[in-house]
Order: sequence, then structure tokens, then C-alpha cells
Amino acid sequence: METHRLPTELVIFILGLPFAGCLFHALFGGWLVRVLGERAGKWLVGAVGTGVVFAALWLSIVLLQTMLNLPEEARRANHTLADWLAIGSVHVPFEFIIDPLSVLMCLVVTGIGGLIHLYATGYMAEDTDYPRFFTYFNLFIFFMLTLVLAGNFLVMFIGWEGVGLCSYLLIGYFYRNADWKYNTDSANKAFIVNRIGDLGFLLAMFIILVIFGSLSFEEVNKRAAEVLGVGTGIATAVALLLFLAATGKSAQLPLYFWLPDAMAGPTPVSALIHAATMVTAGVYLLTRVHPLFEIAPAAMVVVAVVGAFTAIFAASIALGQTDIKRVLAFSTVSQLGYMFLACGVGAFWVGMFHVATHAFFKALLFLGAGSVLIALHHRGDIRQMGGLRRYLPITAATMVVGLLAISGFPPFSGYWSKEAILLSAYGSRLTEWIPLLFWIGIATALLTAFYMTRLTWLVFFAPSFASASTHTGGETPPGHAPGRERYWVVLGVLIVLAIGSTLFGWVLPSETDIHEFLKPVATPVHLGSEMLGESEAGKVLVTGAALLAALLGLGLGIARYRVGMPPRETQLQGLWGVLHRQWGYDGAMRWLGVQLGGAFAWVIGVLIEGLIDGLVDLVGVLTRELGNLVRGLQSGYVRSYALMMMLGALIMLIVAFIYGWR
Amino acid sequence: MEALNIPQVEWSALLPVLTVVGAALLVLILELFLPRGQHTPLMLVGLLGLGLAGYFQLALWGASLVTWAETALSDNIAVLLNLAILVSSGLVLLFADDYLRARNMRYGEFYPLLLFATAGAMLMISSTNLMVVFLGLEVLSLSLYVLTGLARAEVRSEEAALKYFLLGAFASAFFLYGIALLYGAQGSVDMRVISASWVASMPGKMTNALLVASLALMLVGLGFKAALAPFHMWTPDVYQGAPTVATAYMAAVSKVAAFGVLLRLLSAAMPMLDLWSPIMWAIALLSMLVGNLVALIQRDAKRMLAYSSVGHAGYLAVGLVSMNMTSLTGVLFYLVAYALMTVGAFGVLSLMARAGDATTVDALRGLARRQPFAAFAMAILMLSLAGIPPTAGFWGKWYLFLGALEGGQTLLAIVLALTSVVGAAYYLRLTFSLYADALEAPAARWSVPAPMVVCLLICLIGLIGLGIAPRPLAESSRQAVERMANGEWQVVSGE
Repeated sequence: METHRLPTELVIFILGLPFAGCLFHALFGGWLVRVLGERAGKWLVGAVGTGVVFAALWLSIVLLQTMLNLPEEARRANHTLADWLAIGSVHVPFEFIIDPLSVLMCLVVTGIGGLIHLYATGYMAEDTDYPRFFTYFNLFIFFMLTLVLAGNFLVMFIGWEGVGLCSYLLIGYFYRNADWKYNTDSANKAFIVNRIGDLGFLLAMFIILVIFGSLSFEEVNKRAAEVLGVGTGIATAVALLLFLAATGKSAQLPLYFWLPDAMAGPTPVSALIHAATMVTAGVYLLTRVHPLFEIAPAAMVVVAVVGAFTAIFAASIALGQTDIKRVLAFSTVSQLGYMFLACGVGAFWVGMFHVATHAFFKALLFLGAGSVLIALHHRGDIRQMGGLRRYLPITAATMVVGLLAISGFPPFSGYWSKEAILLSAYGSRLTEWIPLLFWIGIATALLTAFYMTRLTWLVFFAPSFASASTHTGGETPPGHAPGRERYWVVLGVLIVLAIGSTLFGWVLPSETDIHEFLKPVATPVHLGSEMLGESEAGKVLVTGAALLAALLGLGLGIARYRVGMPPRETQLQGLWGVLHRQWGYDGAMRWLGVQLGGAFAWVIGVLIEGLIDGLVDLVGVLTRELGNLVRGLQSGYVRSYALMMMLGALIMLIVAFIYGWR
Repeated sequence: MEALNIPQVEWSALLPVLTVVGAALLVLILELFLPRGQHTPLMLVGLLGLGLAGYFQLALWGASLVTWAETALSDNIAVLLNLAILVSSGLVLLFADDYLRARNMRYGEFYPLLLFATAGAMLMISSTNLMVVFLGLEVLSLSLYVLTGLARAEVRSEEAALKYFLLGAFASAFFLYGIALLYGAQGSVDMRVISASWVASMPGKMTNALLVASLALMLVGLGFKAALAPFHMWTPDVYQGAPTVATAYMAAVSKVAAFGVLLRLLSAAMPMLDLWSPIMWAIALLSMLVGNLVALIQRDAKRMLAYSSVGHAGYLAVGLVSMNMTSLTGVLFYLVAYALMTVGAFGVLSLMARAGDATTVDALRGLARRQPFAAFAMAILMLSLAGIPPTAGFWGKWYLFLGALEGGQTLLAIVLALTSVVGAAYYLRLTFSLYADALEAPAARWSVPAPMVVCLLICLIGLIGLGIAPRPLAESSRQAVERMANGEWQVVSGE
């Protein structure tokens, strides 16, 4: 195929298909299910919902192929839909950007998204509100694609807010079941905490608009150093505000604490939105505007430190969790921390690489957890699981693949990207804290292997809870018997993702392929190679340390949980309780936000209410008096109206002669 | 043998108006041959006439014609505003039938009267000759008096009609007296001559005084029509008393026509800025304050909208006082948006009135349960009236606000913003009550007739469309204003 130009019009269809799907479900979904019957109607809705995402995937692949046939400098194009806003001298077009970065994200979003849609047709099969689920799900894909394809900050902000909205809607999806209060509270929590991050996005956007007079990524990236200056306060401020936005969306310290509760949503939602795609938006944002970060070295250090610290903090909390999805949620926070560590040391492409590999294996782990939940009638406490490999052999096998991938064992995908992160952290010269950050990374790798082994072992391999409970004299609750793997789509998707988690990163495509592909968009422009760890010097040490840590974690995990969870841990005593309570962070935030914030609001309320109320009362009194006055005039008598007009005319004439007559 | 010198005329300039008049006459005759109460053909003929007129009007885009011995003209301002008038009339025509039938007002004269009023309003905008403007004003007003009193069985409607008529006549007298004085001053009733006369007039001389007085008097007449304070007193009584379809019509159309003339007159009288600027400044301030503050305490939705229309007139007056490109663009933009919003809002109220519900704000409570679509439409219309993005109302206000700042009218800009907040309070209160639970057991669910659905959809699509993509209309408005400012006229009048 010989083209000299990217077919940028495809963007319309890539975005339009999921949106059309969303409209289809919203307008006709419920009606179809009623008319065609439950089975056929749901089938049609599921088929359309999944079909549009796969169609978008196909178009993204076409885009990728065209791009690969083009020389490197022609791989970037803009598509402007319309000149959107024109206020004074500022023009903000509705533009999209097509370059390796956005195409990679499109592939991840539509690829993993398509698989998870397919999975959801099985997982949600018994839901009574099926079309609503796919309405939100397709809408999410639309907004996520808007986010990654956006050519300027404002268009990205539409996607940014849109995915936030979909996340909110889907966390609170079960707003009518027994846990509705927790579910809707979790949705509110996610939305409100994200608002703090969005404030950062908005402020950064306004500053950029004022200083650059443009919101276009291309222009801002190009002129960043010359306009803002390297290392200046304003450059640092912009970068930190954008990073604040990223910590909100990508669940980093200090704003991570909404993500664990977001697991209240259906499992496919957790897999797609809260693991594979939406939460990586922060990493994507940093990579998209990486020149803005490079000119603010202080902000880079903050990013790296926050990333590394979040990674180990969340990994330690994951140790103390007892709910299968919450373990995975903290693992997501931890892995996102890795990605930010990579960005913080200037290895933006590595961050994106980990986004892609993580999308595979984390989706796999969540969907495996979903398969377990189907079998256990949605009871997710790992303390009550065990021996499930006999009931769910395929799920168990694929989960083990996921375990090996996330722990960083070769040749699974996680190995390649984690390796790359640690390597670039090791070689970086950005700050003197680098050795510390590197060793935190290694320690996190150990913890990761440990808590994932804990999870996998306790669920699938440890002696079953049923036998343990008879042992301790407890009763087996009715209906506890685990079901079998029923839905072929669930298993099919698990297998595909397991294959992806195995091969991605060394076979299809390899690490170097990805590096080459992302080079034009993610290579630092202001940081010299002496600042970056591009040397091969530490490779042996890094690989050795990482592998050792992973093996140690695996071994310790199996040793500790060989016969099930020790009782002290089961009852969450001591350290386990502290970890379970997230080192008290969530409680502190709750206290700070709800109690202290409430108290603050109360004080403000009392103070201001007096003032505002007084003012409002005053306005009310004035208005009433005015009203009475006007009512006196507004007597309903024509003669008094005419008199008013006459007076008005007289005054006007007088004024006219005073001002106008010469 | 010298024949009579017949001025060469360019028919196309008046073709839209003539089409509407033709349609009105046709409807008038047709009504005689139809069985009583069968008005659908009248509506269709009327709509056809309006559509045709709209087509002719659109074809005039870009022309700057002055013809018919300089008594008729067509420019982009006329095209824009006439189209707004035509669309508003068409929308009212579309949903009036159902209302009139339900309220047992099967009077066939509604249709020709509405069309004559439309022709009058269009004529007002299509001329700078003040006698022709006056003619249009009277055609519009007389039709509206009758339309107001259409509910013959209701005392309130009759009272409103009589009040409107008496006060309207009073205002017309001011306007006419102003024209007479203008003729005395300059020997012409063409407003394009005013600026030259003013510049030429000697200080302290009679001509000068005549010009001053004439402008002030004309402003009284137009202020009445535009419902600007302190000439707004008729508005609440008439809006409330008139049949709701008539209210929808007059609220939209007479405002567009009156502001069209004000725009032309004040920009023609640019050199007299010192004179009219303080007057319009005070009028704008008073209108915004009175309109919005009094609307806040109203319990009847029609009365509330009536007072708020005074407030909106105040916003538009801010645009006129500021008198720069941005603010005049804003005036044109706002007029188009306002026409859509008002017709839609009164349309929904006419549905309420049709179904026998009262039009108090309390009666609107829980409308979403009874009629989700009507409630949704009303909510969007209220948001647009309150000026909340992404609706057309926001951009209208935005341009007016920006124009006021550019024109150095900081105080007016601040008052505009503050009274908009007051406006948002009562609009949003109404919106919330739509979705709140009804106070009493809700009246039966009723369905929205198909023409109303079409009409509301047009309003909503228009308002949200303009809210998302304001540029086409804003650019067109700006072009229209710029062309008027440049004053390039192609005069067609052979001697």
C-alpha cells in the first residue's frame, strides 16, 4: 500500500462507531429487549456493542499499517473537524492528532476494550439492565478515544471529563441492589476525588492558554522551552498542575484512594476502566506533553518520587487486602506508580510500554477474578476461597500466566516493561535520589510477586475453605458450592489475553519495535542522553536484582500460604490490620475530607450564612419594597400606566436637552 | 410628451413582505369557504407563504438594495431579522391550531391577522423611511391588539386587549410626533439623513432642538414596543391576559422588529451619541433591574416571563448603548436566539394552558412526571434564557457582555452579569420545580401534539446547535453590522 499521507478521516469513524453504538443502545436497547425477547435482544445489543469496538480496532489497525509504511517524519498528522471556539484572538479548533502515540493508545483501548466488551456479554448476561451497561460502556470507549486522539488540551478535557463521567456511572451501576449505598457512595467518591485532579488540569490549561495563546499540543510542545524557559517557576507550576491532574485520574498519591472503592462496579468495568485504560490517561497525558515536564526538572523529580513511593505504598497495602478485586486494585495503583517512575526519569516511552503490557495482564487478572466471582456468586473474600483450580481449571491457568507476567518473570510481557523501567531508573542522573528510587522499585517487585502469589495461591491452590471451615466447625453457607465455568466468551477472552500477556513485549511486537515506533513522539527533546539511563552498563545488575526479587516474592508467598492464610492474618490483627486499613490513609482522608471538611463547611456556613442571608434578606426586603412600589404603580389602571409613560417621556426629553442640545 | 415619472423599482427587495401579505389575503379569502373550525388548510397555506417568503428573503443575502424611491431596502440585517421573524411566526402558526381548538377559540381570523402582523414587522425592518416604519409598526400593532383579545369569552383577555390598544395608541402618538418633528427639522423622514442634518444644524437654532426632541420622542415609541422600562408597564398584563399563542408571537416578533428599528435608528444617529447614550444607558439599567428583580417575585410563569422579557430588552439595550461591532453582533445574535427561546417557552406554557392546567410556577411542578418531553424542552429553554452554556443564550449574553466592556460601559456590563445571576435564580427555580414532585396529586398525563413536538425540536436543535457552534450566526451578524456601518448602498431609483 503506497500512500504518502495518513488517512486522518478515519478518526471520524473510529470515534463515531462507539458513539453510534452508545446511541443505539440508549435509544433502542430497552425496546429491542422487550420486542425481541430477552435472549435475542440481549444478543443483538451485545453484538452491536462489541462489534462497534472491534470495528474501531480494525480501523486503528489500518491506521497503524499505513503509518508503518510511511517514513518517520510523515507519521504525524492533524485532523481538524471545525474551527470550534474563536474568542478574540484565541482560536481553539476541534482537532485530533494522529501519531504513533495516539495510535498505540487507540489500539490498546479498542483492542483490550473489544475483548472486555466480548467478555461482558457473558459476564453481564443475567443483568436486567443490559442495554444500560452497554450504553455506558460504548460511551466510555468514545470518550477514551476522544481523550487519546485529542489534538489540544480542550478536546482532551472533553474526553478526560467524559471518561470520568462514565467511570462514575459504571461504579454506581448497581444502584438498586443490596449494596446500593456503598456503590453509589463509591461512585461519588471517585467523582469528587477526581475533581481535585481536574482542577489541576483546568488551571494548567488556563495558564497555557494565557501564555501560549494556543492549546494545541503540537504548538505548546514545540514552543515550551522558549516560552516558559527551562526550570522557571511557571514551567514547574504548569508541570505540577498537570501532574496533579494525572494523580487524580491515574490514582497516585495523594489522590489514589478512590480507586479501591471503584471496584464496586461490575468486574468488566474494573478491568477496562479502572485497570487497563482510563487510569493510564495520566501517563498518556505526561507523555503527550513531555517537553513541558522536561523543562521543569523539579517537577520530574516529584513525578519520579511520587511514582516510586506510590508503587511500594500500594503494593504493601495489597498485602493486607482480603477482597480479590481490591488486591488487584491496589496492584493497579502500584503498577501505575511504576509507569510514573518511568516518566519521572525521562523514559516516557517505557511508561507507555508498561501501559500496553499492563493493559494485557491486568485485564487478564481482573477478568480471571470475574470468572471466579461468577462461580462464587459474587462473593469476593479470598479468605473464604481455596482449591478453586478443580472447578475453574482454565481460569486458574490463565491467572497463573497473569501472576507470572505482573511479577516480571521472563518471557512474559511484564518482564520486558518492568525491566525497562528499572533499567532507566537505574541509569538516570536526574536527581541524587535515584539509587533510592531504584531500590524502591526492586522492593516493589518483590512485594508484587509476594501479594500476587498470595492471591493466586489462596484462591486456586490452598486447601479449600469448605474443608477448612468444617475443620474449625463452621458452617458452609447455603449455595456456597462453586459453579463451573459456563460462558465460553469468558474463557475465550481469558485465553486470548493470556496469549497476549505471554507474547507481548518480545514476539509480537518486541520491545525494540515499540521503542522504534514511539521514538519520534516520546524521546526527550530537552534532556540529554547523559541524564538518561540509556547505557547498558547496569543491565546485568538490574536484571539480576529484579529476577531475584521476583523469585523471592514467589517463594515467600508459596511458603507462607501453602496451607492457607494464617489465622492472625485472617483476623487482620497487628500489621495486617494496618495494611488492610491502607496505613490509615483512607481513614485520614475521610476524616480530612468528610469530618474536617464538614466542620470547615459548617464554620464557613455559619459565618457566611449570616452575611449572605443578611444580604439575601436585604435583597428580599428591598425587592419586596420595590415590588410594593411597583405594585403601587402597576395598578392595572391604564391611566396610571399612561401617566408613567408620560413621565418617562418627559424625563427623557429633559435628559435629551441637557445632554444633546447645543 | 413627458409621461409620469415612475421610479424604477427593484421588486425583490419587498418580495418577502409581499409574499406574506399575499398569503394573508389568500388565507382571508380561503377562510370564507371552509367549514367552521376547519383551519388546517389555513395553517398550511400560511406556512407555505412564510416558507416562500423565507426563501425569497434568503436569496437577498449579501444585497444592499435601496429602492422604491428609497422607501424600501434590503440588507443583511433585514435578512437576518426577517428570517427570525418568519421562523417565529411559522413556529407559532404550527402549534396554534391545537391550542385554539382546545380553548374553543376557533376563530379563522387568527391566521390572516398573524400573517399581517408578520408582514408589518418585516416592513419595519425593511426600511429607513420612518413613515414606512410607522406603517409597519401600525400593521403589526393593530393585528396584535386583536390577537390579544381573541379569547372573547375571557374578561382578562378583553381587558388586556383594550389596555394594549390604548397604551399602544399613546406610544404610537409619541413615535409619530417624533417623526413629524424630524420632518420639520430636515424636510425628510429618512433616518439616514439624520446624521447629516445634525452635523449641519446650527447650535442654538430651532433645527437643533427639533432633532433632539424628535429622537427622544421616537425612542419613547420604540421603547414601548420593545418593552423597555419605564415603558414596559403594559407587558405583564398583556402577556398574561392574551391567549398564550398570541403571547408567544408578540413576545418574539415585536421585540425583534422594535430592536431592528432601534438598531437602525441609533446607528444612523451616531453623531448624536451624546444625546441618546445617557438616555439608553438609563433605560438599559432600569430595564435590567426592574425586569429581573420583579420577575423574581412572580408566581405566574407567564407574568414571570413577561418581566424577564423586560430584562432581556435591557440586555439588548446594553448592546445598543455600547455601539461597537461586538455589541451590535451580540444584539443580532441575541435577537435570533431570544426569538427561538421565547416562542419555545410560551409554546410549552400554551400546552399547559391547553391541558387546562394553570400556568403558575407551582402548577409546573412535577411536569417531568406528566410530560417528560415538554419538561425537558422547557428545562433547556430555561437554561438558554438564563444564559447557561452550551446554549445559544450564553453566547448572546457573552457577546453583549464583551461588547459592553469593549465599549467602556463597565457598569452596564457588571449590572448585566449581576442581573443575569438574578435571572438564573428564577429560571433555575422553574427548572427545578419541573423535576420536583408535584404538590398535589398530579393531573392526568397528557401527550404533546405532533406539531408542538416539531416546533420544540426546532427550538432545541437551534438553541443547542447555536450553543455548540455559534460561529456561523455570529459571523453573519458581524458581517451584517459591518456592512451597515460601511453604508454602501446600491440605490435603485431611476430618474
